[in-house]
Amino acid sequence: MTTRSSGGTARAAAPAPPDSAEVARRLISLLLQHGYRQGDRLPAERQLGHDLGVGRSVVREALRSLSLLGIVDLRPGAGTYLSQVADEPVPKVSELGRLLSPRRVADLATVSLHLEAVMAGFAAERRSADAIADLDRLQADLVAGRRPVAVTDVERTFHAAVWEAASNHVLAEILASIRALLDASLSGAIETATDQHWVVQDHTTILEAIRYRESEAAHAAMVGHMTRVAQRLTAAGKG
Amino acid sequence: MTDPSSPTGTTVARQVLALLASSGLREGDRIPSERVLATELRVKRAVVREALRSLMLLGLLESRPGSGTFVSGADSEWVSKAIEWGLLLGVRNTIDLVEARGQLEIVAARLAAQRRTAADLEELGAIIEAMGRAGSDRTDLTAHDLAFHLALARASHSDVLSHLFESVSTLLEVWISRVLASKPAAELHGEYLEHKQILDAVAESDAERAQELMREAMRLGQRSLVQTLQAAARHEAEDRADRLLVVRGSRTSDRSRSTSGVRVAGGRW
Repeated sequence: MTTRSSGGTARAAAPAPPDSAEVARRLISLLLQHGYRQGDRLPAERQLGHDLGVGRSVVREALRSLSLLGIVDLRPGAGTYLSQVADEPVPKVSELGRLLSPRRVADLATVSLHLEAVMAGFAAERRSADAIADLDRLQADLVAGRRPVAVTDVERTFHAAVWEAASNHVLAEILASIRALLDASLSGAIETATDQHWVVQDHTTILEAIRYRESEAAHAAMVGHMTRVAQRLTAAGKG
Repeated sequence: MTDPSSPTGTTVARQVLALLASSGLREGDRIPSERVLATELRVKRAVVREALRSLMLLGLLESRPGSGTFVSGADSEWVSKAIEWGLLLGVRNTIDLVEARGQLEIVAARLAAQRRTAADLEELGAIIEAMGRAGSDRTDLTAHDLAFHLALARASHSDVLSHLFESVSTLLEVWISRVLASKPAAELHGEYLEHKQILDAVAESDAERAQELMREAMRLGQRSLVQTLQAAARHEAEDRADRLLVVRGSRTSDRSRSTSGVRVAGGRW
């Protein structure tokens, strides 16, 4: 069942993405366009192949790739299901993060800086009273030292709360994936008590701007914060 | 070979990834041989081979005939793909997608102004010129318009950003072409001037101006897209609108769907 002679083709500088990876992407896109949700059973391989205009073996390869990422569940004898990933929003991506080159880490950090700033601005414009209450609670716990947690956890929780307040699920999803990819690098870069200090200070500045609906200030504060995060990442990458 | 539906290959593939990561390998590095991996993971070589093949299909590994298997390097797209998969799964709301695309492009315009090369300017300039020549040819104008946006995203010299922009644009393809199709040619031609201004700002390395011009262009573009979406929601069958335009916070409950398979309208990709 070879769908593609991997390695047999001469590899130019930039090899084309494998067919089945492309099929995997189109497959998920198709399912979502048609209202499939996590936990739903997928149509038969033959049907999917027909709908996508590709052979059944390509569909099978694509499904296996997706199962690797934890996106679908292959249950032998019971069919294929869209995974329940509610408690693990970015399946398996963090595992991949450890394979990143320093150059890639820098690129991800840059994109994340700009998009986080956009989200902080949105959060200032759109935050609900509940969102502010959530952010306040997080900050209060921290300041009171009620939760002696790792700085990276503080970072993750705070940013997730800002994304929630910004209410753009697509950008939130993108940022969550980037953060998961950067997780391995971040936990090496930010972890000391000194880090805890500036991280909390940054978060306070961002939170206050969001509270008073000062979009530009929130944007600027987030740029400052993410710049410091990126500097740590770069330093850790070199060290 | 094991039954392709068996999870064995999948499980081993994850173990292989974990092993590679914990041994400090990075993008572009060569991985140990099948035999070594099989010994380390205490599984049969055939299972390792199958796992490696899955990882290659995902684009995580690449095989170079004669020299072995490598963690895919800088030119590979797996990082972007990994983000994209999360994105595809998470997509619930077309309005959010439209807004995300706009923001990605504003960031791209800024980075392009800071990082563009002479070759980028040449490519963008050629597209703008072609737009100018296209006159009122709708098909040409539309094609050049899309080409300009993609080329600008590439000029950001952020692989992650330009791939994300492409993916989000692909997810909105149907809507974007509908908006373009409904615009009078004169209006399309007007966008030529708008694009030219953005290119000038990029050429002058004026990041602030490039960003602001793009923000303005996006504001207008987004309005057309949202209007098209809303019109579709009004005019089309209810279940279809429900799937495509789930307005923030008001997702309706499960919809009826055929169990026999996905209903696909031909050529809707």
